[in-house]
Amino acid sequence: MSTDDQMSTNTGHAEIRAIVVDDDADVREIFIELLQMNDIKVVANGINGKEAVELYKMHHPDFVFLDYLMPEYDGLYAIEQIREFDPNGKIILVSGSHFERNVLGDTVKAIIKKPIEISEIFKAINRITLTT
Amino acid sequence: MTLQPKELGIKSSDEWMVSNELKELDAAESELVEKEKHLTMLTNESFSKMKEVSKINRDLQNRIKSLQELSASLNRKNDELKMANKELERKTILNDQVSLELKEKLERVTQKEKELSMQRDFLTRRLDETTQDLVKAEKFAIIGELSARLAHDLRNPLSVIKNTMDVMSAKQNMKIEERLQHIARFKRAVQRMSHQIDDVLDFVKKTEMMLHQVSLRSIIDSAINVILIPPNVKIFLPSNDVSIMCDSRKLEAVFSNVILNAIQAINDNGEVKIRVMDIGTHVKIEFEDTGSGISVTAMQKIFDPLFTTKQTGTGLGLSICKNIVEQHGGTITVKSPPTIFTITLPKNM
Repeated sequence: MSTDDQMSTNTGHAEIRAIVVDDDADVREIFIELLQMNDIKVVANGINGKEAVELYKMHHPDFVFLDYLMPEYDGLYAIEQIREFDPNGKIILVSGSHFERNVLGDTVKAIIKKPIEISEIFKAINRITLTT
Repeated sequence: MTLQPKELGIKSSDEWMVSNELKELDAAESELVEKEKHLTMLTNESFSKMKEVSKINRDLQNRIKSLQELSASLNRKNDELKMANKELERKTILNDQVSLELKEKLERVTQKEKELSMQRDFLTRRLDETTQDLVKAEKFAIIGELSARLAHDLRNPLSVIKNTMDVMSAKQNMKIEERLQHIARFKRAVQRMSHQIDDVLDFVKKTEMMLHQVSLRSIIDSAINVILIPPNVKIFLPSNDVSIMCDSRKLEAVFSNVILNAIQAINDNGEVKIRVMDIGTHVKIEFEDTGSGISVTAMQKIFDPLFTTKQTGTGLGLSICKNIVEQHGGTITVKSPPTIFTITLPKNM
């Protein structure tokens, strides 16, 4: 990924507000840094599904970047709770495995596989913004 | 003989002749009397002899009679014996028949036993095969789950490496502090990846046991040596020691795993007490920590492969420990709170 790509992909996304939820501190922190570098404002972050729901209700973000496998309250819990609260909630699942695709169907707007490729993130954001 | 007295005085030749004859007669008469006497005596004698003989005869007859009786009774006895013998023979024949039948039945039983034993062997084999298949299937299932999990777990540190690289290459003029922070992330990511791979490999491969007599204290000491003990953690070592037959390298891995878990459970702040107890043929090793304890649901699955409550755990550590302890013919159990892991091992496996 080059800087030029970032410049071209992130134009028009300056106002995006997001929350990041991942139980892995290193993954979470560097991902947030990368998003902020690309003008996505990360308003809050959490470590499990329960925190994701609380943060969503508190901040009403444009996007939720959500991990799937987390201790106690996992991504599925967050997806169900957030959709109940806001059926149009834009959840992007950022995960390590394939099996979520079968489980989740269209309950999430996109599934991004780790290692996170920032250009994939922007592709997803663009697609979701255009279709809604 | 009649004597005529008137003729006594006349001595004539006739008279003389008569007297002679008379004399002869008398002599003959006395001889006769004598003979008669003798005869009578003989008669008496023979009579008494006869009496005696007849007595003997009677006796003999009596004896014969009693002999006859005896013979009769013997005959009777003989008959009885014959009967008994016949009966015995009959019984013997019957017995032989029964014995033959029994023999046949026994043969049938033996045959049945043989069949049953064969069937049992067959079933045992089938059971073994099925068990092996099941174990294999379970192992495959676990390995399948394991590789999915490993892939997932490797993606996290991989993501960290990739994103850190993205950030570092985007920010060319980075402050040294920030750079060091990123380098630390790299290090952690690489460490986690190798740790996860090591754990999976340890779980998948089951190596041979290298048994020797070793002191438990020395194993505990070397287990602690491989762990970086945080400054606020106090470890209490056992004052006593027991030597046992074991694979010390494997047990060292078990002990360091359990001690590391204890240190994590107390959040790098508290105490870990290790006790060694000699209980005869076995030895008991306890690891107690001052952590808040383990939930009942977590305790039920704590030794299951892939079960973890930690963010970066593989869920294999205690499962591997259990395998090793069981390979030694021992057991590992847990109770909480306070959390105590108890390992029981035979002294001479």
